[in-house]
Amino acid sequence: MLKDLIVISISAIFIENFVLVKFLGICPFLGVSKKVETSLAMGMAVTFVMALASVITWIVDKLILQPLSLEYLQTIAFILVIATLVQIVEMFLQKVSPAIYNALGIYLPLITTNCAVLGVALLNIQKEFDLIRSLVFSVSAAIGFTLAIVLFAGVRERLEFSEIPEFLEGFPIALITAGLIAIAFLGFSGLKL
Amino acid sequence: MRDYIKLGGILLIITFTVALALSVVNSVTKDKIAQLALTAQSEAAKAVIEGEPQKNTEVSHNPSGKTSVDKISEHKIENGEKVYSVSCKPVGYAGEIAMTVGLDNNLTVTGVIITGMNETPGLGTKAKEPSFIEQFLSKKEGVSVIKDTPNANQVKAISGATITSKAVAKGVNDAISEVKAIAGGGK
Amino acid sequence: MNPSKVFLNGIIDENPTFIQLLGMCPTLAVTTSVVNGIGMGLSTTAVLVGSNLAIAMLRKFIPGKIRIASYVVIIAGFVTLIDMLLKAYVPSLSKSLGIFIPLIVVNCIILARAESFASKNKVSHSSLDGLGMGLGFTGALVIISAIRELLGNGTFLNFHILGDGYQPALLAILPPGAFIILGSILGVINLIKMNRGKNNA
Repeated sequence: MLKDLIVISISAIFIENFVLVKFLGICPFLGVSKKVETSLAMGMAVTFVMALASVITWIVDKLILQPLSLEYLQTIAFILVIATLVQIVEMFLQKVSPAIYNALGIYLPLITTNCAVLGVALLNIQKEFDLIRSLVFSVSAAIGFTLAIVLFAGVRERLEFSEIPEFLEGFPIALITAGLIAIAFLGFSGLKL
Repeated sequence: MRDYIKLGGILLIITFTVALALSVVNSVTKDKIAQLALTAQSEAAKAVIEGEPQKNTEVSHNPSGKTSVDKISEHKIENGEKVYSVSCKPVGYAGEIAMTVGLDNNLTVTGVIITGMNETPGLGTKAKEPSFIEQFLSKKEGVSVIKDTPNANQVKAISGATITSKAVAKGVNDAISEVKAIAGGGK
Repeated sequence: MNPSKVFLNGIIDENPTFIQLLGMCPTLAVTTSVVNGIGMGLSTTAVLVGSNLAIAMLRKFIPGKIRIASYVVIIAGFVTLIDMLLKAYVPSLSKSLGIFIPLIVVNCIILARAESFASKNKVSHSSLDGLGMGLGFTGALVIISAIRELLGNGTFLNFHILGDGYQPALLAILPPGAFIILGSILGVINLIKMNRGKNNA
């Protein structure tokens, strides 16, 4: 059991990194990664939402959708759960840490439309994970997301001081850089666990 | 407070209407979807076994659950021999590879079909091509994958897609071992 | 606001992929082949037209405070509809696009159009906007997947174009290739914009 969980965890963080391999969570990845601190904050917020969302959606699927043969309502049910969760996290952060709340800005409510959150909920069901495996998978996926976004922010901070041709400034160079980091992660793909 | 109830109520009405509309569409499409799955399965089974399966001779066996095999079907062909179509889902590079393996009554491979995969396009997806998959024909249990020239019970890996190649081989080996456990070794 | 302007806006001036930079997840993930690009583009267009239409019809009845949640439910409804129809009538496309079909619901393009256009404009214009944006998205996907499929597999729409001697640059089809090719295309567009600026000055 433990070995299984470790395999799931390492796969989700490195071999099938959500951002650099599965392309889930690109919007915040490109939007928030200009500074390492904001990236870390975003990573933690996403980890929290992904963990909670995966548990709640798993329960909703197991206890409501499956017994009533309502699997086709999965997308609607899951996105409603996620939207509500994000709303709650927003209100919580606003009270507890206005600094982080302001730093994340519009990207906080945008966690709702973060493909990674809905993606992980759907993948848990697709892979037929039980509750523990779902939780481990989701938290690991979020850690992988945080890893990618923080690494990327580190590189982008350095890029600020480099001379880049004007037509590449902004998104183009960001994407090409992400591509180079993705090549590095490609090295994990041969890993046999 | 009353505001929240009113807002919640409207949201509930919208959700309910949408859900209702979807349940109508669901009742229209779900039969077709289930049908498609069954047809795909029986077509895959027919394609991998040698000989004509006789009507009403299909027997289902329960797989052990310890391998990648999830369905074993036994059929009788015209000469009375038992053949098998086994569906299995070994894990490849990017998830499960859904495949069906056909075995004759000597547990020799008569056909392999890959019915679903998410492997890397241009690499792992080459596993579907005859040049790779037909290597498995006439193989017996214990097929292994090597990179150089294969001998009688080996297959050559797809260059750059060793993981996918090995997964397909595992599927074939699992199929043979499961049927062996049921049929008792073959003649 | 004339209708053809509304329609063309989504294709060129405010192209969701190349200008607005929305909907990056499916753009990078699905463009490994032109068939997938077209399939995803048209599915998203169907959802866009449907949701823009429904939201424009209901815009006077949805209270401001719950509008985002309502839009999301309506969009999710259309996405599930398309999902079921594809599974039943085009199963091969459903299999290749996989999880990215239900993920259309979080495609920023749809929510952005609902919030910024459909909630404020009449039904006819909103549907045209949905159609324009959707086709603009589809066009962008086709361009990107054409480059990736050609470079990475030597094919276009599964027809071998570059001949047998061509050694495919596999990287184009793998994840890093998606990032690099999209980044390069955006760089080229910037170059075009800058040159146009110089010529107009």
